[in-house]
Amino acid sequence: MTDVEIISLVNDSLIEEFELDESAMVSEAEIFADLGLDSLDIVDMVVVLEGLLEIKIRDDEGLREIRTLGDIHRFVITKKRETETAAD
Amino acid sequence: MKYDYLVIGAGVSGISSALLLARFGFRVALLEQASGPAPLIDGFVRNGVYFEAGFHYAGGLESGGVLDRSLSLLGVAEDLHRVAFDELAYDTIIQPESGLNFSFPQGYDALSLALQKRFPEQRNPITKYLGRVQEVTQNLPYYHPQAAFSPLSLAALHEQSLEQVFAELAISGELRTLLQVHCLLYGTKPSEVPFAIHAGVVDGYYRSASTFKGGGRALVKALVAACERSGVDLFCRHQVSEVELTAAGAFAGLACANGERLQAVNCVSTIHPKAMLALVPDSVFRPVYRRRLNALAETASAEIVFLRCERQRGSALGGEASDSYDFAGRNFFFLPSPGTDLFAPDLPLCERLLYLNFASSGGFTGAHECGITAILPAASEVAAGEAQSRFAYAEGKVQIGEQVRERISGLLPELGAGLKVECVATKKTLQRINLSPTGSLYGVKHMVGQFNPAAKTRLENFFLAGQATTAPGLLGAITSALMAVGEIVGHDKVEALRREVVCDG
Ligand SMILES: Cc1cc2nc3c(=O)[nH]c(=O)nc-3n(C[C@H](O)[C@H](O)[C@H](O)COP(=O)(O)OP(=O)(O)OC[C@H]3O[C@@H](n4cnc5c(N)ncnc54)[C@H](O)[C@@H]3O)c2cc1C
Repeated sequence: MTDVEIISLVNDSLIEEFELDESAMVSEAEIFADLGLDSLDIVDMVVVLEGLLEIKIRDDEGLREIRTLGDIHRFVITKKRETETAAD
Repeated sequence: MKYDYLVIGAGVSGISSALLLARFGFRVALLEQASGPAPLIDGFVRNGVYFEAGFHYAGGLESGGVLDRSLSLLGVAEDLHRVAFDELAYDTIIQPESGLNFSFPQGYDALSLALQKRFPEQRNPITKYLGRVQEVTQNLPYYHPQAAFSPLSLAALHEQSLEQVFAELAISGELRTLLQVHCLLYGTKPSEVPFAIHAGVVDGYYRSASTFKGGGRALVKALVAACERSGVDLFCRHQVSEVELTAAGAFAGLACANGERLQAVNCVSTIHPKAMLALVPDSVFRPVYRRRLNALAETASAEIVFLRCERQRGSALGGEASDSYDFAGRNFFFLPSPGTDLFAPDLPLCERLLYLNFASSGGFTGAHECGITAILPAASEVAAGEAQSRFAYAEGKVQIGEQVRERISGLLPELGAGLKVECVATKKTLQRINLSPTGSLYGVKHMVGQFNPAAKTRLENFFLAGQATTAPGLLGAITSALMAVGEIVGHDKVEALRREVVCDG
């Protein structure tokens, strides 16, 4: 799966699962201020992303650094690539 | 009358939440759908004999133990008298085919010795395992309800399954069988249950196993008396049918099936998470959260047979202790034949795991007749079969009762001819009393990889407690209340109260 494909998969799924506004899905959008998520949503975001990409991020320190939608994309792409390498 | 808090469900977690909130000066009302409070742990009397329902024995009730301290915090410890289970044999595990017959004695040291004597070649794993149980438990919410656990930090504690720990410590064969038998107490398999959840349950029992004088019913009485003292209003026969919101979407109050409506600023729901979702307008929670809660796995169901028996002195059943004793204050676990999945729910009743509890005289009051509860785990999914007529259903129950009675008579001939079936509860009965869609015994599972809901929700002023949120059993239910109230008033305040009341430094 290419990076672009991952990004679009992630966006589609966040829009549906969190009822987000499609037009707000730009990479510099801040997840709390612009997308309207709150700290309680983080668990569900982890569940969705783990299921979607078959990765494990729940205990990752990097999770705390996430501020923007772009951060999410970079974070999961890195994780996905790590998982793929580990599986090889 | 407008309340500060409405609590949905007057089970142990609901009453505990209400008592703690009242402690912090709030006006609280409890709403319970059943005709009396805490129907799950309240036993019942039939033909003059007391039977336990959802409470058979507890760990950690010794003076200063974790459950004892929690009950002090609720202000009920002084109204309750602990009755210890059999010191040398509170749980006896028997596998008739293989000849396995082991009794759990109370206390870590005694247990460690007994296990090492039985399995001298596994001395090392035994010590390591018991050490690990104690160590992990010390990091759990029971001991640190103030620690503001997040779902992610709890998930980190719940990463490893019981089965993985067995594999890591090279625990196998009959030793493994014995150490996993207590999974029955919360209805989740060793491959699924987080080791930490299992440890939290067995740690209490390994320290001490006991009940209250008067059984579960005495606990309910003490909790209700504490509500009266604290000015908590208890409304039974009030089934909440809807959570009402203000125009701005904040919590406003609760509507009940009997037409009554109560208003409050805040709410704590302690019912099954799926049942809670059904009360709240869909717009409140995100689809992803609703899906997560609806996907929570259910614990096992069971067939439960209540029997009565004249109390007699029994032989020691071939166990190591050689005195004869009264069965009161003992549990027996009769295991299916070796090589069979211990918890296989689809075995015939004469082969399935059978749990027998003899504590049901309500704390061994010396009554002439003793109530016995027999529990046989069953699958929790609702059978898809065609609807049964009432007659066929009643007939089926009679057959279940007879089969189980015959099996018990064969296993414990000491009980003699005086053993009689009083009544039978099936999956359907459980569905009704637990309001659990699948008739599961203990509501939702705590499972590796699964996130159970946290106390805080997206709906401001609407919190969750109950065994589903924190951990199973009586202690799990009380701890869930401590955690929810911690979210509400501040964990530091709950901790300060704990120090003041329990003086545990
Ligand atoms: C057969 C059995 C044996 C058990 N044995 C033991 C044991 O030996 N030791 C131990 O520690 N634990 C035991 N347990 C577990 C223990 O009983 C539970 O973990 C504990 O009681 C759960 O408390 P709770 O408050 O979370 O849930 P509940 O007691 O289920 O509380 C929820 C309450 O909400 C009410 N309710 C539901 N929907 C509504 C509504 N819409 N409106 C108003 N009210 C509503 C219900 O009637 C119920 O009273 C046993 C359980 C079972 C089933």
